[in-house]
Amino acid sequence: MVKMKACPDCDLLLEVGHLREGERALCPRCDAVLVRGGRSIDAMFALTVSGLILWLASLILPVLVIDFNGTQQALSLWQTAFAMLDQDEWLLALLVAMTTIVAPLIYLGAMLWLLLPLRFGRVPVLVGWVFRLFYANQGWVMLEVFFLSLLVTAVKLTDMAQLLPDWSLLAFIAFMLVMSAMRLLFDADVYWRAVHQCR
Amino acid sequence: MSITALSQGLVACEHCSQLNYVHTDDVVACGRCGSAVQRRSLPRLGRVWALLFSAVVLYIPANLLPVMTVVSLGKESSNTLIGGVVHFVQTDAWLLALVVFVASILVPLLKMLVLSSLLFSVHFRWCARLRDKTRLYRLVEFIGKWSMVDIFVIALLVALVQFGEFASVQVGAGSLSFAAVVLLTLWATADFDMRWLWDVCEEKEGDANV
Ligand SMILES: [Zn+2]
Ligand SMILES: [Zn+2]
Repeated sequence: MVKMKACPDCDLLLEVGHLREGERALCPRCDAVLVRGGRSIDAMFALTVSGLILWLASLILPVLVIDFNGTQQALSLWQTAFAMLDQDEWLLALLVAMTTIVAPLIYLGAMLWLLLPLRFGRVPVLVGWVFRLFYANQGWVMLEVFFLSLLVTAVKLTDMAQLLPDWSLLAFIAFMLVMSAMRLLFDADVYWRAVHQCR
Repeated sequence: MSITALSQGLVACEHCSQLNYVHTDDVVACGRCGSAVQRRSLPRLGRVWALLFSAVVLYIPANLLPVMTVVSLGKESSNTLIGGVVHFVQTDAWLLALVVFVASILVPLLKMLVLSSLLFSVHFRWCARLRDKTRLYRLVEFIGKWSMVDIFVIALLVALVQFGEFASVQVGAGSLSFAAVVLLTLWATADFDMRWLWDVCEEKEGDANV
């Protein structure tokens, strides 16, 4: 199946054949990725459900535990965002909450909204609107950056306090990986073809 | 001349990439997802310039003011962005120094430099090395959010180091400016359309052939 596509970066008009999972097509003029062979709707749905469970887990479980002269301090995503409120830095608190908690939830919620009705052969209500919300929101998800910050903080604190290994960090790592996988594997073309079949 | 979607009267939907036929000044609803689709008119550089300029201005307090103050056993020490890097170098934490230097100093500078050179390229129709310029744009798009590392580290320290008079961390005024720099450059990058440059260069090539 051949399909016309415009390069997102240079607007060159191109014909793209069918891609298998894991394949990608590049623009011959500027090397932009035109299409990525995305996963099926079912695979995306499974990722969304695991993402929602891991979101809840990483929200309440501690991401860092430190020991400072015998006093232990555990920190969850929730507390990280809200600690800045005590110093009246509500703009920064909002930014941290948005990028690590709210945006991932909107991402997963929109995904669930878009995918669940399709499994029952129905077109989601407000499909275009939710799809645009999903797109506008996805740039705000910054979990990988937050993970790097966790590592930097851990090293920074070594001369002051002792860091305790905690299994709950794995929940956050799993959450981050599921979200990255979804961003890589979601294919708008695959999705809209599925919507078209239901109409 | 290359065949672009625009030259065929086609416009790709920015949300679902579907091609739609659009007449000159019309705004149509995308046939697939319903988003508003219209032809790219002249590049709207003003908005991107405004965002970029605000970022450049705020970059100064972001670097001069302390991003945080560490209170430890009654002693206070203020840290600027570059001070954080220097501290890691002094304590031989080279890898960390590199990570923080790249995220908080190099990435914002690179973003502002690349974006302004792209804006000038569109304005003055500098069409050399278009492919490399497009690659640079994608690089800036990709690295943009990694400057948030500093903001997250400060948030984590503030939340973790709460041991009353023994130790605490206060947010400094520089943090807010730095966060603003990160957001403004992210928005400027998102607002800039790489196709503007390809468009004006097609046009320039067309002019030369007449
Ligand atoms: Zn291209
Ligand atoms: Zn569309």
